Amino acid sequence: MTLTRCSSAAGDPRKRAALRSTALTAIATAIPLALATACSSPSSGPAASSTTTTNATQGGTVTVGLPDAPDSLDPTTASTLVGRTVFANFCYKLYDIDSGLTIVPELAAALPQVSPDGLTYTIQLKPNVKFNDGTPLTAQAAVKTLNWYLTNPLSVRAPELHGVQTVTATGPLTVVIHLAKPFAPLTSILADRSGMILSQTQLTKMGNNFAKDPVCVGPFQFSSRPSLDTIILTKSPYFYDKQDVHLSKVIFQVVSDPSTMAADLESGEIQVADAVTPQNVSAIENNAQTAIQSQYSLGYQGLDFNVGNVHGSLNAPGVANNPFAKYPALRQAFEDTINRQQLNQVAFDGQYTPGCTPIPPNSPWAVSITCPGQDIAQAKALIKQTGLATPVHVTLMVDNTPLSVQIGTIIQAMAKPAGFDVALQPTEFTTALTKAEDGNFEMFQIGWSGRIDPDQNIYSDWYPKSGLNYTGANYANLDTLLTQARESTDQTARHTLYHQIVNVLENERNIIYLWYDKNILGLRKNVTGVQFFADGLVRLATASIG
Amino acid sequence: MLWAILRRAVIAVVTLLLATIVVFAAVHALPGGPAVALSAETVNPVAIAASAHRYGFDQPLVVQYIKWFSAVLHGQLGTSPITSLSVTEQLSQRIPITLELAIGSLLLGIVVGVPAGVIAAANPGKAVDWIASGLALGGLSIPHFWFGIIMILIFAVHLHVLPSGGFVPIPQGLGSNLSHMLLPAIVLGTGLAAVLMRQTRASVIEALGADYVRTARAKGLPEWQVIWVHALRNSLITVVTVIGLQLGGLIAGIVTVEEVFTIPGIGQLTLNAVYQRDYPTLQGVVLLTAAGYIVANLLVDVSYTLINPRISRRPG
Amino acid sequence: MLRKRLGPLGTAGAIGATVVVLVAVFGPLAAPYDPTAVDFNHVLSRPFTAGHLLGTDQLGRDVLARLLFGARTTLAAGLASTLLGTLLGLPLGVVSGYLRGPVDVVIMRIVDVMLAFPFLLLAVGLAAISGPSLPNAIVALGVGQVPAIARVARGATLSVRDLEYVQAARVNGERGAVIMRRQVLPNILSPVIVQTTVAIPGNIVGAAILSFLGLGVQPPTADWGAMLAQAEDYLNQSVWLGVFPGICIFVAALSFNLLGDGVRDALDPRRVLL
Repeated sequence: MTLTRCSSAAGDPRKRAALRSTALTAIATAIPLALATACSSPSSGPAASSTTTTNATQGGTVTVGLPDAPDSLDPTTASTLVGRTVFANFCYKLYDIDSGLTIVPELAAALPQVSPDGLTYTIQLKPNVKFNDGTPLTAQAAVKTLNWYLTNPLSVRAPELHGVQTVTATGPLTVVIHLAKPFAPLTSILADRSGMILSQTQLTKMGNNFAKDPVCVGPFQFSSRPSLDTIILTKSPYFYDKQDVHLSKVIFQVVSDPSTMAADLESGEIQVADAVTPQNVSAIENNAQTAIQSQYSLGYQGLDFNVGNVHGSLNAPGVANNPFAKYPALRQAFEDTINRQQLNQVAFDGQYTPGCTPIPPNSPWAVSITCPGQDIAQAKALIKQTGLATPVHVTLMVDNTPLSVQIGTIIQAMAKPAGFDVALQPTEFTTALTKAEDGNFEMFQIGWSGRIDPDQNIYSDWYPKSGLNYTGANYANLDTLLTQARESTDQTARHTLYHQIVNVLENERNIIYLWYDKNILGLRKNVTGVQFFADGLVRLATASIG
Repeated sequence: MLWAILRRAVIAVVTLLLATIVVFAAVHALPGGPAVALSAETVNPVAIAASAHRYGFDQPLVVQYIKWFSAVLHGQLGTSPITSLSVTEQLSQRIPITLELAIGSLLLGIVVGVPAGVIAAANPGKAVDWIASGLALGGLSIPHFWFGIIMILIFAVHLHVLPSGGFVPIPQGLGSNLSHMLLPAIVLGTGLAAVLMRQTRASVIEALGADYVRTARAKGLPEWQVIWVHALRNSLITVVTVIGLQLGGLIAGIVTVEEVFTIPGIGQLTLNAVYQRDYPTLQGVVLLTAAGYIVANLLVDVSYTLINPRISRRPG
Repeated sequence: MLRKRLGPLGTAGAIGATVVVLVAVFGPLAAPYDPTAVDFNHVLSRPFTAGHLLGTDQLGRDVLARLLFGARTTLAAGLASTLLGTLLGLPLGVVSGYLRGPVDVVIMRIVDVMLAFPFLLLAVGLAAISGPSLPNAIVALGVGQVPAIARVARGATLSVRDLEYVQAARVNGERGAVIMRRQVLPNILSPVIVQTTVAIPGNIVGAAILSFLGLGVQPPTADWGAMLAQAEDYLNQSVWLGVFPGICIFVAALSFNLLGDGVRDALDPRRVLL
């Protein structure tokens, strides 16, 4: 069999928009709490960052191709993955991650000091740091920013920071956060948009229009956004490490068609291609002037079954009116029809990683279990036990893009021999989300962008009355475990808890986890020093172009 | 004649008004809303409600329509809840791009189609007529998105002489801008050229049989003048009519071509706005398109009266 | 006789169109495989490999079988939408042209408004509301057809309404509806038939565009436009996947265009109507 990888002539921009903005928005979060040494993580895949040389070429412009347009450039209201890539270069956060998925201080001077009861976090800020408008970074600025995120009615950061009661400055560079209940993932949250500190002068001046001219701390500063698809950053004269910043300009340009992006990379129109698709990998690898970097991602892709979502995900679950809800064994039967390896091979040319848990294998929190293989005989037997007449008619809602439809078709074909008649329902993405929230579906192929902290990959999907609990999950024992894991400050205990949690998830099968995407970056060989980690963000602080 | 134009203009305005109501109603009939598209990750009811309140989506539809309409009259098209950019800004960024594509295709279509039609009409039944007519028929039948893909395959992927898509603004290089526009304009212009060629050919053939042509020939005018000046001038009406009728198809064609060649124009904006339930942007865009279409038709009507003052009514 | 009326090109078109229709109706019976049968061990086989005359696609499905079945969906969409457009537009045009006055103004303004919206947006809207599907695509295309048919019908009605026999019927006290049906309709058939025939290839291509954008038939149903959309990702190595469906659409559209030309030449040689 010759399965050749080909670049395509044209693609569907909606495909990228749909996949990126929800399913794959990877928001970096960090390993909880200060016990970094105990959480040394395995290597996160092939070389993710190249070393910078002290005599790197100064100056130059790098154009980065993005698969779709960042939304608002204000962390208060932003919610796209590509937006985070842009932020990573001009709007630094209290914490960040490194290549080993360890949380490291960025604007903070060190990891937070946590009180024994887990309710108080004390954060020291780095001294002598300036915003990109020259004003100093102070604890006041951090406090005002966090309170802005918490209280601004338009803020989408507020739910991420839930449990935070007060944020105060107890010194010029000391911030104290007080929680109502312990919340282990907090530091990881501060290593994402909620930890981005905004210039107070600018915030006061622009208010809710901050996105028009955002000012933060960063190696680059926002210069202009001449169109929705083009964002220009220039080197910041105020950055605290500016001697290590080599580029003078960074341009983010939206190229929504994956094969056009690959072609642009090969022709040199862009120097970095974010989100390369599996079909375009070989063309880029075979070109003498370009190379590929492939990284694990933080999220998963799977199949949601509507088990208990009868009144909407935010309301109390019940028992849904479909065969999968009435016969749990049927979900197992369906899982038995799927050959994860083959799905990965046929749909993604083997580029992604098959799996069956919500935590990708590169994460320090990964729970390794043996994934069930394809077993049509068992599937048939399980269906027979339920007494349902074959073929069993079920519906599968997928995003209305060629790739998702293809995945649905493969699943459909795999399920057929066992006695499932799967009707595909390609649905436009926003409509699909509405239907999922309303419980208006039977099966839904959907993923999650992923965070480093496992709580953020599981809690909202499985805890009753959570916004993302499309399946209507309602398992008392699971709820207890999830809450314990979220509030515990003991690393080892958390590891054990997540083992138990994953086992429960495998048994209940409201979600069948199928694979993990990979973040694939294309680069021209004369661009070095790009830092590309499993969160999928392209960091250019130390990059140079030769 | 002025009355006729005025009457047409009034009708145009009324049509535009009706169009806005239809757009408004249709857009709000789509399930979900911008808040759903925005908060896909968090589903935070408080933020959704606040966003809805900020943009006025929680008010009755009629109220929203009136507010939007009066804002439009003041030249305000609102702000996109998805991107926080003003709709006018987004439109003004993309209109020049789509306009360049549209005008390029129109020019190509006219420059290729009309002369081809005249030449074919001047040599009916001969080889050049068969070839031209055959090509026109082909251009008419080929699905332009497929044509675009094939063009990209040949010229961009295999020959590497033209880019496979995207757009370069003129300030960044006129040559680059044109090379990016060439294939899309060819693809879009082909259909128009085909229709124009056939229409021109038919009109000129008919005109060549008319009395005034015989008179011109009898007067001893050179043949090329008879054909290119007299016969063609009288065929211009039908040509202009055809252009008018093709404008609607051009709009649909633009959306597909912008998608195949990933050109960041109005077509792409429209599709994205639908998918993201970006009501203000979608309303703005469709308003613009409808207005453009109506204005273009108005111009077509006006040029009728200019070309042939005897005609003050659109045929048919 | 047909050849004489349609001319050589028109006849060629008629033959081509007939062939296309026959393929659509009977082709699937001759298909070597089930068009939805996947074969993960033989994906992207080249044409002329054993057992697959035109190769296989990225899921191992036989291309020839999918082309044959695709003829059915593409053609059905093109013809059904034309029929729908005519059924909707014809009465609108006739009533408008016959009654004139305020009815005419209102109907024509409605038609103008419809004209301002490309069928594409309508298709997208319908898809977002009730999911993309073949019926939705047909409705979108059919409605997009209405302005043209309505205008043609109205124009033709205008030119016959003042003829003697129509006047006579009116004087005799016949009701408007009856007149429209008995006197007007039969006499405007020519331009309406021309317009309908001419609209078919446009709707065939339109249907292909909609399924190309994911707004038409849903998988795993085979459809030429959908096949092109899926082929896009594999064009570098498997060019044939993107070539064959396009050729099919082209041939179908060409045949109906030739046919339309022939019909037009036969029924409206002076090309009064565009």
